[in-house]
Amino acid sequence: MPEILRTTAMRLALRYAVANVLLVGLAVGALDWSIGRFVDAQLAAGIRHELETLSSLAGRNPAALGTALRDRRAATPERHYLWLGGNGRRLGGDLLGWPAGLAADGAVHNVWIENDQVEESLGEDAGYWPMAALRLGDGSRLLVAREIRPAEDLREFSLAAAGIIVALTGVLTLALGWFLGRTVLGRIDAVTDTAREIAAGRMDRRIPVSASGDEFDRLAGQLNLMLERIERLVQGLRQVSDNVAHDLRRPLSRLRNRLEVTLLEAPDEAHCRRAMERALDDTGRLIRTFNALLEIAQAEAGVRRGEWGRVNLDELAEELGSLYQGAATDQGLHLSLAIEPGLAVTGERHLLAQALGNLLENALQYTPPGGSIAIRLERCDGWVCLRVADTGPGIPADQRGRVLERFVRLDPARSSEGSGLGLSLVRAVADLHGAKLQLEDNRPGLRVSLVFPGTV
Amino acid sequence: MEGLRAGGDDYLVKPYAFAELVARLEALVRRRATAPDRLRVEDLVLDRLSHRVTRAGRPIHLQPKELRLLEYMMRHAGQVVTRTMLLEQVWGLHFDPCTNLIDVQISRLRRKIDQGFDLALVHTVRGVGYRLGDA
Repeated sequence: MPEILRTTAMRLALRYAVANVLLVGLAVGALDWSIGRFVDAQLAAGIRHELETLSSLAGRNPAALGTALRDRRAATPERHYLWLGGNGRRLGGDLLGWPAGLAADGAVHNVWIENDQVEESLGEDAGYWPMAALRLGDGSRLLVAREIRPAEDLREFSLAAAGIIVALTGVLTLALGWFLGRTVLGRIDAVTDTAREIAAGRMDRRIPVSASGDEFDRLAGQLNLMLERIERLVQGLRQVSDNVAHDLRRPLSRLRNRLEVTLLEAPDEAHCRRAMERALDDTGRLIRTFNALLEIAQAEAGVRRGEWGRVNLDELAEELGSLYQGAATDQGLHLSLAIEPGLAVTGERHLLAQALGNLLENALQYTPPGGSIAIRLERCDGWVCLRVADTGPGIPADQRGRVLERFVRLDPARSSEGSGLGLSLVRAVADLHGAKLQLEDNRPGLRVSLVFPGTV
Repeated sequence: MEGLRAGGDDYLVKPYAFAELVARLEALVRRRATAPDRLRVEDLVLDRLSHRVTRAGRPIHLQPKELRLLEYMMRHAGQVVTRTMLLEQVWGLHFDPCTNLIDVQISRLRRKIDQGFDLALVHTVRGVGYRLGDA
Protein backbone atom coordinates (compact mmCIF):
# COMPACT_ATOMS: atom_id res chain seq x y z
CA MET A 1 0.00 0.00 0.00
CA PRO A 2 2.75 2.56 0.73
CA GLU A 3 4.10 1.70 -2.75
CA ILE A 4 0.75 2.53 -4.31
CA LEU A 5 0.55 5.78 -2.33
CA ARG A 6 3.78 6.88 -3.97
CA THR A 7 2.32 6.65 -7.48
CA THR A 8 1.15 9.70 -9.32
CA ALA A 9 -2.13 7.95 -10.18
CA MET A 10 -2.95 7.31 -6.54
CA ARG A 11 -2.06 10.83 -5.48
CA LEU A 12 -4.28 12.17 -8.24
CA ALA A 13 -7.06 9.78 -7.19
CA LEU A 14 -6.81 10.97 -3.60
CA ARG A 15 -7.11 14.54 -4.72
CA TYR A 16 -10.07 13.67 -6.91
CA ALA A 17 -11.69 11.78 -4.06
CA VAL A 18 -11.43 14.78 -1.74
CA ALA A 19 -12.76 17.12 -4.44
CA ASN A 20 -15.57 14.70 -5.33
CA VAL A 21 -16.62 14.31 -1.71
CA LEU A 22 -16.67 18.07 -1.24
CA LEU A 23 -18.69 18.64 -4.42
CA VAL A 24 -21.17 15.85 -3.78
CA GLY A 25 -21.55 16.99 -0.15
CA LEU A 26 -22.19 20.54 -1.31
CA ALA A 27 -24.78 19.38 -3.85
CA VAL A 28 -26.58 17.13 -1.38
CA GLY A 29 -26.52 19.89 1.25
CA ALA A 30 -28.00 22.43 -1.16
CA LEU A 31 -30.68 19.93 -2.16
CA ASP A 32 -31.51 19.22 1.47
CA TRP A 33 -31.67 22.91 2.29
CA SER A 34 -33.99 23.71 -0.61
CA ILE A 35 -36.23 20.72 0.21
CA GLY A 36 -36.44 21.96 3.82
CA ARG A 37 -37.35 25.45 2.65
CA PHE A 38 -40.03 24.02 0.39
CA VAL A 39 -41.48 21.81 3.12
CA ASP A 40 -41.46 24.73 5.59
CA ALA A 41 -43.29 26.96 3.09
CA GLN A 42 -45.85 24.22 2.43
CA LEU A 43 -46.44 23.72 6.16
CA ALA A 44 -46.77 27.44 6.78
CA ALA A 45 -49.26 27.85 3.94
CA GLY A 46 -51.28 24.89 5.29
CA ILE A 47 -51.33 26.35 8.81
CA ARG A 48 -52.40 29.80 7.58
CA HIS A 49 -55.11 28.29 5.43
CA GLU A 50 -56.41 26.18 8.32
CA LEU A 51 -56.40 29.19 10.65
CA GLU A 52 -58.34 31.30 8.14
CA THR A 53 -60.91 28.52 7.54
CA LEU A 54 -61.47 28.00 11.26
CA SER A 55 -61.66 31.72 12.10
CA SER A 56 -64.23 32.35 9.36
CA LEU A 57 -66.19 29.32 10.68
CA ALA A 58 -66.05 30.81 14.20
CA GLY A 59 -67.30 34.13 12.81
CA ARG A 60 -70.34 32.45 11.31
CA ASN A 61 -71.11 29.90 14.03
CA PRO A 62 -68.92 30.11 17.14
CA ALA A 63 -70.67 27.13 18.71
CA ALA A 64 -69.52 24.77 15.94
CA LEU A 65 -65.80 25.50 16.45
CA GLY A 66 -65.33 23.05 19.30
CA THR A 67 -66.79 20.19 17.30
CA ALA A 68 -64.85 21.19 14.24
CA LEU A 69 -61.60 21.14 16.20
CA ARG A 70 -62.30 17.65 17.52
CA ASP A 71 -63.18 16.38 14.05
CA ARG A 72 -60.09 17.84 12.55
CA ARG A 73 -57.85 16.45 15.30
CA ALA A 74 -59.21 13.02 14.56
CA ALA A 75 -58.76 13.38 10.79
CA THR A 76 -55.23 14.85 10.87
CA PRO A 77 -53.29 13.67 13.92
CA GLU A 78 -50.26 15.80 13.04
CA ARG A 79 -52.34 18.94 13.52
CA HIS A 80 -52.79 20.42 16.94
CA TYR A 81 -55.14 23.17 18.11
CA LEU A 82 -55.84 25.40 21.05
CA TRP A 83 -58.90 27.61 21.58
CA LEU A 84 -58.65 29.86 24.58
CA GLY A 85 -61.52 32.01 25.77
CA GLY A 86 -61.14 35.67 26.61
CA ASN A 87 -60.81 34.74 30.28
CA GLY A 88 -57.95 32.34 29.49
CA ARG A 89 -60.05 29.18 29.84
CA ARG A 90 -59.41 26.38 27.41
CA LEU A 91 -62.46 25.99 25.16
CA GLY A 92 -61.10 23.34 22.77
CA GLY A 93 -58.03 21.77 21.15
CA ASP A 94 -55.40 19.43 22.47
CA LEU A 95 -52.61 21.83 23.48
CA LEU A 96 -52.64 22.16 27.22
CA GLY A 97 -51.47 25.77 27.47
CA TRP A 98 -50.68 28.82 25.41
CA PRO A 99 -47.01 28.70 24.34
CA ALA A 100 -45.05 31.48 25.99
CA GLY A 101 -44.35 34.52 23.85
CA LEU A 102 -46.58 33.53 20.91
CA ALA A 103 -48.42 36.52 19.51
CA ALA A 104 -51.87 36.05 17.99
CA ASP A 105 -50.87 37.93 14.80
CA GLY A 106 -51.75 35.31 12.17
CA ALA A 107 -48.08 34.84 11.18
CA VAL A 108 -46.34 31.44 11.33
CA HIS A 109 -43.75 31.07 14.11
CA ASN A 110 -41.58 28.17 15.13
CA VAL A 111 -42.12 27.47 18.78
CA TRP A 112 -40.45 24.90 21.01
CA ILE A 113 -43.03 22.46 22.32
CA GLU A 114 -42.35 19.93 25.07
CA ASN A 115 -44.17 16.64 25.14
CA ASP A 116 -46.09 17.57 28.28
CA GLN A 117 -47.59 20.59 26.57
CA VAL A 118 -49.78 18.40 24.37
CA GLU A 119 -52.50 15.83 25.19
CA GLU A 120 -51.21 13.44 22.62
CA SER A 121 -48.46 13.68 19.95
CA LEU A 122 -47.19 11.34 17.27
CA GLY A 123 -43.59 11.32 18.30
CA GLU A 124 -41.93 11.27 21.65
CA ASP A 125 -39.42 14.08 21.28
CA ALA A 126 -39.88 17.73 21.86
CA GLY A 127 -39.23 20.06 18.91
CA TYR A 128 -39.93 23.25 17.08
CA TRP A 129 -43.45 23.27 15.73
CA PRO A 130 -44.60 25.83 13.19
CA MET A 131 -47.77 27.49 14.46
CA ALA A 132 -49.96 30.54 13.98
CA ALA A 133 -52.64 32.16 16.16
CA LEU A 134 -55.49 34.68 15.70
CA ARG A 135 -57.68 36.63 18.08
CA LEU A 136 -61.34 35.92 17.23
CA GLY A 137 -64.19 38.44 17.29
CA ASP A 138 -65.44 37.37 20.78
CA GLY A 139 -62.03 37.95 22.35
CA SER A 140 -61.03 34.29 22.33
CA ARG A 141 -57.78 33.16 20.73
CA LEU A 142 -57.36 30.29 18.25
CA LEU A 143 -54.00 28.52 17.64
CA VAL A 144 -53.16 26.09 14.85
CA ALA A 145 -49.91 24.11 15.05
CA ARG A 146 -48.44 21.34 13.08
CA GLU A 147 -46.29 18.65 14.41
CA ILE A 148 -43.38 18.22 12.02
CA ARG A 149 -42.26 14.78 13.05
CA PRO A 150 -42.89 13.20 9.59
CA ALA A 151 -41.02 16.06 7.90
CA GLU A 152 -38.17 15.69 10.38
CA ASP A 153 -38.00 11.98 9.62
CA LEU A 154 -37.74 12.75 5.91
CA ARG A 155 -34.97 15.16 6.67
CA GLU A 156 -33.08 12.62 8.70
CA PHE A 157 -33.52 10.06 5.97
CA SER A 158 -32.26 12.41 3.28
CA LEU A 159 -29.26 13.35 5.43
CA ALA A 160 -28.40 9.67 5.86
CA ALA A 161 -28.73 9.15 2.13
CA ALA A 162 -26.47 12.12 1.51
CA GLY A 163 -23.90 10.70 3.89
CA ILE A 164 -23.99 7.35 2.12
CA ILE A 165 -23.66 9.01 -1.28
CA VAL A 166 -20.67 11.07 -0.13
CA ALA A 167 -18.97 8.08 1.46
CA LEU A 168 -19.58 5.91 -1.60
CA THR A 169 -18.18 8.63 -3.86
CA GLY A 170 -15.05 8.79 -1.78
CA VAL A 171 -14.57 5.04 -1.65
CA LEU A 172 -15.28 4.54 -5.35
CA THR A 173 -12.91 7.31 -6.42
CA LEU A 174 -10.17 5.89 -4.23
CA ALA A 175 -10.78 2.41 -5.60
CA LEU A 176 -10.59 3.72 -9.14
CA GLY A 177 -7.37 5.52 -8.27
CA TRP A 178 -5.93 2.37 -6.77
CA PHE A 179 -6.88 0.36 -9.84
CA LEU A 180 -5.45 2.98 -12.20
CA GLY A 181 -2.38 3.21 -10.03
CA ARG A 182 -1.93 -0.54 -10.24
CA THR A 183 -2.18 -0.64 -14.04
CA VAL A 184 -0.08 2.48 -14.64
CA LEU A 185 2.41 1.35 -12.03
CA GLY A 186 2.67 -2.02 -13.71
CA ARG A 187 3.44 -0.55 -17.09
CA ILE A 188 5.85 2.05 -15.76
CA ASP A 189 7.54 -0.68 -13.80
CA ALA A 190 8.04 -2.61 -17.03
CA VAL A 191 9.89 0.42 -18.46
CA THR A 192 11.88 0.81 -15.26
CA ASP A 193 12.85 -2.86 -15.24
CA THR A 194 13.97 -2.70 -18.86
CA ALA A 195 15.98 0.44 -18.22
CA ARG A 196 17.63 -1.22 -15.24
CA GLU A 197 18.59 -4.26 -17.29
CA ILE A 198 20.00 -2.08 -20.06
CA ALA A 199 21.96 -0.08 -17.54
CA ALA A 200 23.33 -3.40 -16.28
CA GLY A 201 24.74 -4.03 -19.76
CA ARG A 202 22.04 -6.03 -21.53
CA MET A 203 21.73 -3.78 -24.54
CA ASP A 204 19.38 -6.15 -26.36
CA ARG A 205 16.51 -5.70 -23.85
CA ARG A 206 13.38 -3.93 -25.11
CA ILE A 207 10.31 -2.50 -23.42
CA PRO A 208 7.24 -4.76 -23.87
CA VAL A 209 4.60 -3.24 -26.15
CA SER A 210 0.97 -4.31 -25.76
CA ALA A 211 -1.42 -4.52 -28.68
CA SER A 212 -3.65 -1.65 -27.57
CA GLY A 213 -1.53 1.09 -29.15
CA ASP A 214 -2.19 3.57 -26.34
CA GLU A 215 0.13 6.30 -25.08
CA PHE A 216 2.23 3.78 -23.20
CA ASP A 217 2.69 1.69 -26.34
CA ARG A 218 3.64 4.73 -28.35
CA LEU A 219 6.14 5.74 -25.68
CA ALA A 220 7.51 2.22 -25.48
CA GLY A 221 7.77 2.06 -29.29
CA GLN A 222 9.72 5.31 -29.46
CA LEU A 223 11.97 4.29 -26.60
CA ASN A 224 12.63 0.96 -28.31
CA LEU A 225 13.53 2.74 -31.55
CA MET A 226 15.91 4.94 -29.62
CA LEU A 227 17.44 1.92 -27.91
CA GLU A 228 17.89 0.22 -31.25
CA ARG A 229 19.73 3.22 -32.65
CA ILE A 230 21.89 3.51 -29.56
CA GLU A 231 22.72 -0.16 -29.74
CA ARG A 232 23.70 0.14 -33.39
CA LEU A 233 25.90 3.16 -32.61
CA VAL A 234 27.51 1.44 -29.67
CA GLN A 235 28.20 -1.64 -31.75
CA GLY A 236 29.65 0.49 -34.52
CA LEU A 237 31.81 2.29 -32.02
CA ARG A 238 32.96 -0.96 -30.48
CA GLN A 239 33.83 -2.32 -33.90
CA VAL A 240 35.75 0.84 -34.74
CA SER A 241 37.73 0.76 -31.53
CA ASP A 242 38.45 -2.94 -32.06
CA ASN A 243 39.70 -2.12 -35.52
CA VAL A 244 41.72 0.81 -34.25
CA ALA A 245 43.37 -1.38 -31.67
CA HIS A 246 44.04 -4.11 -34.22
CA ASP A 247 45.28 -1.88 -37.02
CA LEU A 248 47.50 0.23 -34.86
CA ARG A 249 49.06 -2.62 -32.94
CA ARG A 250 50.72 -4.05 -36.01
CA PRO A 251 52.69 -0.97 -37.09
CA LEU A 252 53.50 -0.18 -33.47
CA SER A 253 54.96 -3.62 -32.82
CA ARG A 254 56.85 -3.42 -36.11
CA LEU A 255 58.30 -0.11 -35.00
CA ARG A 256 59.18 -1.57 -31.64
CA ASN A 257 60.86 -4.60 -33.24
CA ARG A 258 62.88 -2.40 -35.51
CA LEU A 259 64.12 -0.30 -32.61
CA GLU A 260 64.87 -3.37 -30.52
CA VAL A 261 66.87 -5.02 -33.27
CA THR A 262 68.79 -1.82 -33.87
CA LEU A 263 69.55 -1.53 -30.18
CA LEU A 264 70.65 -5.19 -29.91
CA GLU A 265 72.87 -5.18 -32.96
CA ALA A 266 74.40 -1.88 -31.91
CA PRO A 267 75.57 -1.02 -35.40
CA ASP A 268 77.51 2.02 -36.50
CA GLU A 269 76.15 5.52 -36.57
CA ALA A 270 75.02 5.37 -40.19
CA HIS A 271 72.91 2.30 -39.44
CA CYS A 272 71.46 3.98 -36.40
CA ARG A 273 70.54 7.01 -38.43
CA ARG A 274 68.81 4.92 -41.04
CA ALA A 275 66.90 3.01 -38.39
CA MET A 276 65.83 6.24 -36.78
CA GLU A 277 64.71 7.66 -40.08
CA ARG A 278 62.64 4.60 -40.78
CA ALA A 279 61.19 4.73 -37.27
CA LEU A 280 60.30 8.35 -37.94
CA ASP A 281 58.50 7.29 -41.13
CA ASP A 282 56.60 4.64 -39.18
CA THR A 283 55.48 7.10 -36.53
CA GLY A 284 54.50 9.53 -39.26
CA ARG A 285 52.25 6.87 -40.76
CA LEU A 286 50.73 6.14 -37.36
CA ILE A 287 50.03 9.79 -36.76
CA ARG A 288 48.46 10.01 -40.21
CA THR A 289 46.16 7.14 -39.32
CA PHE A 290 45.17 8.85 -36.10
CA ASN A 291 44.63 12.10 -37.94
CA ALA A 292 42.43 10.36 -40.47
CA LEU A 293 40.38 8.77 -37.69
CA LEU A 294 40.04 12.11 -35.97
CA GLU A 295 39.03 13.79 -39.17
CA ILE A 296 36.41 11.13 -39.88
CA ALA A 297 35.05 11.48 -36.37
CA GLN A 298 34.93 15.25 -36.71
CA ALA A 299 33.30 15.11 -40.10
CA GLU A 300 30.77 12.57 -38.84
CA ALA A 301 30.03 14.62 -35.75
CA GLY A 302 29.72 17.74 -37.88
CA VAL A 303 32.40 19.54 -35.90
CA ARG A 304 33.77 22.15 -38.23
CA ARG A 305 37.34 22.82 -37.48
CA GLY A 306 37.71 25.43 -40.14
CA GLU A 307 35.36 27.73 -41.92
CA TRP A 308 32.07 26.63 -43.37
CA GLY A 309 31.38 28.58 -46.50
CA ARG A 310 31.43 28.75 -50.26
CA VAL A 311 34.07 26.51 -51.75
CA ASN A 312 34.96 26.89 -55.41
CA LEU A 313 35.18 23.25 -56.39
CA ASP A 314 36.58 24.10 -59.81
CA GLU A 315 39.60 25.82 -58.28
CA LEU A 316 40.02 23.11 -55.71
CA ALA A 317 39.91 20.33 -58.31
CA GLU A 318 42.35 22.25 -60.52
CA GLU A 319 44.71 22.76 -57.61
CA LEU A 320 44.67 19.14 -56.52
CA GLY A 321 44.80 17.92 -60.10
CA SER A 322 47.96 19.87 -60.78
CA LEU A 323 49.42 18.73 -57.47
CA TYR A 324 48.87 15.06 -58.26
CA GLN A 325 49.88 15.45 -61.91
CA GLY A 326 53.54 15.03 -61.10
CA ALA A 327 53.07 11.94 -59.00
CA ALA A 328 50.84 10.41 -61.66
CA THR A 329 53.35 11.05 -64.40
CA ASP A 330 56.10 9.50 -62.29
CA GLN A 331 54.02 6.33 -61.96
CA GLY A 332 53.42 6.18 -65.70
CA LEU A 333 49.80 7.22 -65.35
CA HIS A 334 47.91 9.74 -67.39
CA LEU A 335 45.91 12.18 -65.29
CA SER A 336 43.33 14.24 -67.15
CA LEU A 337 41.19 17.10 -65.91
CA ALA A 338 37.81 18.12 -67.32
CA ILE A 339 36.52 20.92 -65.17
CA GLU A 340 33.48 23.05 -65.78
CA PRO A 341 34.29 26.50 -64.41
CA GLY A 342 32.18 28.35 -61.88
CA LEU A 343 30.95 25.40 -59.86
CA ALA A 344 30.87 25.89 -56.12
CA VAL A 345 29.39 24.15 -53.12
CA THR A 346 28.81 25.16 -49.53
CA GLY A 347 31.17 23.35 -47.25
CA GLU A 348 34.53 23.07 -45.63
CA ARG A 349 37.43 23.51 -48.03
CA HIS A 350 39.92 21.56 -45.99
CA LEU A 351 37.66 18.50 -45.68
CA LEU A 352 36.68 18.62 -49.34
CA ALA A 353 40.35 18.81 -50.33
CA GLN A 354 41.11 15.84 -48.11
CA ALA A 355 38.25 13.84 -49.63
CA LEU A 356 39.30 14.55 -53.21
CA GLY A 357 42.92 13.91 -52.24
CA ASN A 358 41.96 10.52 -50.83
CA LEU A 359 40.13 9.60 -54.02
CA LEU A 360 43.14 10.61 -56.12
CA GLU A 361 45.51 8.72 -53.87
CA ASN A 362 43.42 5.58 -54.13
CA ALA A 363 43.43 5.96 -57.90
CA LEU A 364 47.21 6.45 -57.95
CA GLN A 365 47.76 3.50 -55.68
CA TYR A 366 45.58 0.98 -57.45
CA THR A 367 45.94 1.91 -61.11
CA PRO A 368 48.73 -0.04 -62.81
CA PRO A 369 51.29 1.86 -64.93
CA GLY A 370 50.00 2.85 -68.34
CA GLY A 371 46.52 3.46 -67.02
CA SER A 372 44.71 6.72 -66.75
CA ILE A 373 42.94 8.76 -64.11
CA ALA A 374 40.28 11.32 -64.93
CA ILE A 375 38.98 14.12 -62.73
CA ARG A 376 35.71 15.47 -63.96
CA LEU A 377 33.67 18.31 -62.49
CA GLU A 378 30.36 19.15 -64.10
CA ARG A 379 26.81 20.21 -63.50
CA CYS A 380 24.28 17.42 -63.76
CA ASP A 381 20.54 17.87 -63.19
CA GLY A 382 21.08 20.86 -60.95
CA TRP A 383 23.63 19.01 -58.87
CA VAL A 384 27.39 19.41 -58.87
CA CYS A 385 29.13 16.15 -59.77
CA LEU A 386 32.75 15.58 -58.94
CA ARG A 387 34.06 12.35 -60.41
CA VAL A 388 37.35 10.53 -60.13
CA ALA A 389 37.65 7.61 -62.52
CA ASP A 390 40.56 5.23 -62.94
CA THR A 391 41.41 2.18 -65.00
CA GLY A 392 42.53 0.09 -62.06
CA PRO A 393 41.04 -3.20 -60.86
CA GLY A 394 37.85 -1.52 -59.60
CA ILE A 395 35.71 -2.76 -56.74
CA PRO A 396 33.29 -5.68 -57.12
CA ALA A 397 29.67 -4.51 -56.85
CA ASP A 398 29.03 -6.50 -53.68
CA GLN A 399 32.02 -4.97 -51.94
CA ARG A 400 31.22 -1.33 -52.68
CA GLY A 401 29.28 -0.77 -49.46
CA ARG A 402 31.90 -2.48 -47.35
CA VAL A 403 34.87 -0.45 -48.50
CA LEU A 404 33.28 2.67 -47.03
CA GLU A 405 33.69 1.26 -43.55
CA ARG A 406 36.72 2.07 -41.49
CA PHE A 407 39.82 -0.11 -41.91
CA VAL A 408 38.23 -2.24 -44.60
CA ARG A 409 40.73 -3.05 -47.34
CA LEU A 410 40.05 -5.45 -50.12
CA ASP A 411 43.65 -6.48 -50.54
CA PRO A 412 43.66 -9.41 -48.09
CA ALA A 413 47.41 -9.49 -47.73
CA ARG A 414 47.46 -5.76 -47.09
CA SER A 415 50.64 -5.67 -49.08
CA SER A 416 50.04 -2.19 -50.36
CA GLU A 417 50.41 0.74 -48.09
CA GLY A 418 47.27 2.38 -46.72
CA SER A 419 45.15 2.55 -43.65
CA GLY A 420 41.78 1.57 -45.07
CA LEU A 421 40.42 4.89 -43.90
CA GLY A 422 40.49 6.86 -47.16
CA LEU A 423 36.99 6.08 -48.39
CA SER A 424 35.58 6.22 -44.86
CA LEU A 425 36.65 9.83 -44.70
CA VAL A 426 35.25 10.50 -48.17
CA ARG A 427 31.92 9.11 -47.04
CA ALA A 428 31.95 11.14 -43.81
CA VAL A 429 32.75 14.30 -45.75
CA ALA A 430 30.02 13.51 -48.28
CA ASP A 431 27.48 12.97 -45.50
CA LEU A 432 28.51 16.19 -43.81
CA HIS A 433 27.99 18.10 -47.05
CA GLY A 434 24.71 16.42 -47.88
CA ALA A 435 26.37 14.86 -50.92
CA LYS A 436 25.74 11.45 -52.42
CA LEU A 437 28.71 9.14 -52.75
CA GLN A 438 28.48 6.70 -55.63
CA LEU A 439 30.89 3.92 -56.52
CA GLU A 440 30.45 2.66 -60.05
CA ASP A 441 32.10 0.46 -62.58
CA ASN A 442 34.28 2.44 -64.97
CA ARG A 443 34.69 -0.55 -67.31
CA PRO A 444 37.43 -1.18 -66.48
CA GLY A 445 38.25 0.43 -63.17
CA LEU A 446 36.46 2.41 -60.55
CA ARG A 447 34.49 5.60 -60.86
CA VAL A 448 33.70 7.46 -57.67
CA SER A 449 31.17 10.28 -57.84
CA LEU A 450 30.45 12.91 -55.25
CA VAL A 451 27.14 14.54 -56.08
CA PHE A 452 26.66 17.81 -54.21
CA PRO A 453 23.61 19.99 -53.91
CA GLY A 454 25.18 22.87 -55.82
CA THR A 455 25.21 26.60 -55.19
CA VAL A 456 25.36 29.17 -57.96
CA MET B 1 41.19 29.92 -37.69
CA GLU B 2 39.88 32.02 -34.85
CA GLY B 3 43.29 31.74 -33.26
CA LEU B 4 44.88 33.06 -36.45
CA ARG B 5 42.48 35.99 -36.59
CA ALA B 6 43.01 36.74 -32.95
CA GLY B 7 46.64 37.48 -33.74
CA GLY B 8 48.35 34.11 -33.93
CA ASP B 9 50.84 33.86 -36.80
CA ASP B 10 50.48 30.15 -37.36
CA TYR B 11 49.03 27.12 -35.73
CA LEU B 12 49.59 23.42 -35.44
CA VAL B 13 47.04 20.73 -34.86
CA LYS B 14 47.90 18.04 -32.37
CA PRO B 15 49.51 15.59 -32.71
CA TYR B 16 52.40 17.38 -34.36
CA ALA B 17 55.97 16.44 -34.93
CA PHE B 18 58.46 18.35 -32.87
CA ALA B 19 60.53 19.04 -35.99
CA GLU B 20 57.46 20.61 -37.54
CA LEU B 21 57.07 22.91 -34.57
CA VAL B 22 60.73 23.95 -34.66
CA ALA B 23 60.61 24.55 -38.39
CA ARG B 24 57.54 26.71 -38.09
CA LEU B 25 58.98 28.69 -35.20
CA GLU B 26 62.13 29.36 -37.20
CA ALA B 27 60.06 30.42 -40.15
CA LEU B 28 58.17 32.85 -37.95
CA VAL B 29 61.35 34.24 -36.42
CA ARG B 30 62.85 34.84 -39.82
CA ARG B 31 59.71 36.30 -41.34
CA ARG B 32 60.33 39.77 -42.61
CA ALA B 33 57.76 42.51 -42.80
CA THR B 34 58.35 42.79 -46.54
CA ALA B 35 60.20 40.33 -48.70
CA PRO B 36 62.85 41.85 -50.95
CA ASP B 37 62.11 42.00 -54.66
CA ARG B 38 65.14 39.90 -55.49
CA LEU B 39 65.84 36.71 -53.63
CA ARG B 40 69.30 35.21 -53.80
CA VAL B 41 70.68 31.95 -52.52
CA GLU B 42 74.27 31.35 -53.62
CA ASP B 43 74.18 31.80 -57.38
CA LEU B 44 70.44 31.24 -57.66
CA VAL B 45 68.45 34.46 -58.17
CA LEU B 46 64.68 34.92 -58.25
CA ASP B 47 63.22 38.22 -59.40
CA ARG B 48 59.81 38.48 -57.77
CA LEU B 49 58.70 41.29 -60.11
CA SER B 50 59.57 39.76 -63.45
CA HIS B 51 59.15 36.17 -62.23
CA ARG B 52 62.49 35.27 -63.73
CA VAL B 53 64.84 32.73 -62.24
CA THR B 54 68.48 32.43 -63.11
CA ARG B 55 71.25 30.27 -61.81
CA ALA B 56 74.79 31.44 -62.45
CA GLY B 57 73.28 33.78 -65.00
CA ARG B 58 71.54 30.97 -66.87
CA PRO B 59 67.77 31.40 -67.07
CA ILE B 60 65.63 28.60 -65.69
CA HIS B 61 62.07 28.13 -66.87
CA LEU B 62 59.60 27.25 -64.11
CA GLN B 63 55.87 26.56 -63.96
CA PRO B 64 53.85 29.00 -61.79
CA LYS B 65 53.52 26.49 -58.94
CA GLU B 66 57.21 25.63 -59.15
CA LEU B 67 57.98 29.32 -58.98
CA ARG B 68 55.90 29.71 -55.83
CA LEU B 69 57.54 26.66 -54.32
CA LEU B 70 60.99 27.98 -55.06
CA GLU B 71 60.09 31.44 -53.77
CA TYR B 72 58.84 30.00 -50.53
CA MET B 73 61.96 27.90 -50.10
CA MET B 74 64.26 30.80 -50.95
CA ARG B 75 62.52 33.01 -48.44
CA HIS B 76 63.22 30.34 -45.90
CA ALA B 77 66.68 29.51 -47.20
CA GLY B 78 68.83 27.62 -44.77
CA GLN B 79 65.81 26.48 -42.75
CA VAL B 80 64.06 23.18 -42.87
CA VAL B 81 60.61 23.43 -44.40
CA THR B 82 58.24 20.51 -43.83
CA ARG B 83 55.98 18.94 -46.42
CA THR B 84 52.83 20.14 -44.69
CA MET B 85 54.23 23.68 -44.56
CA LEU B 86 54.81 23.58 -48.31
CA LEU B 87 51.38 22.14 -48.96
CA GLU B 88 49.76 24.88 -46.92
CA GLN B 89 51.83 27.81 -48.03
CA VAL B 90 52.33 26.99 -51.70
CA TRP B 91 49.16 25.09 -52.56
CA GLY B 92 46.89 26.49 -49.89
CA LEU B 93 45.81 23.00 -48.99
CA HIS B 94 45.29 21.90 -45.45
CA PHE B 95 45.45 18.18 -45.63
CA ASP B 96 47.51 15.16 -45.08
CA PRO B 97 48.52 13.33 -48.24
CA CYS B 98 49.75 9.79 -48.02
CA THR B 99 51.65 9.66 -51.27
CA ASN B 100 54.87 11.46 -51.87
CA LEU B 101 53.22 14.42 -53.59
CA ILE B 102 55.57 17.03 -52.30
CA ASP B 103 58.58 14.80 -52.91
CA VAL B 104 57.61 14.60 -56.56
CA GLN B 105 57.21 18.36 -56.82
CA ILE B 106 60.52 18.93 -55.06
CA SER B 107 62.36 16.45 -57.23
CA ARG B 108 61.08 18.24 -60.35
CA LEU B 109 62.24 21.53 -58.97
CA ARG B 110 65.55 19.97 -58.01
CA ARG B 111 66.06 18.68 -61.55
CA LYS B 112 65.54 22.14 -62.96
CA ILE B 113 67.71 23.94 -60.46
CA ASP B 114 70.50 21.57 -59.55
CA GLN B 115 71.00 19.56 -62.74
CA GLY B 116 74.22 20.51 -64.37
CA PHE B 117 75.61 22.31 -61.34
CA ASP B 118 78.21 21.03 -58.96
CA LEU B 119 76.64 22.56 -55.91
CA ALA B 120 73.29 21.05 -54.95
CA LEU B 121 70.97 23.58 -53.38
CA VAL B 122 67.89 21.48 -52.61
CA HIS B 123 68.50 19.10 -49.75
CA THR B 124 66.27 16.45 -48.29
CA VAL B 125 66.14 16.26 -44.51
CA ARG B 126 64.95 12.75 -43.93
CA GLY B 127 61.81 12.36 -41.93
CA VAL B 128 61.31 16.10 -41.69
CA GLY B 129 61.34 17.98 -44.95
CA TYR B 130 63.63 20.01 -47.16
CA ARG B 131 66.17 22.74 -46.95
CA LEU B 132 67.42 25.12 -49.59
CA GLY B 133 70.99 26.28 -49.36
CA ASP B 134 74.56 25.11 -49.55
CA ALA B 135 75.69 21.88 -47.93
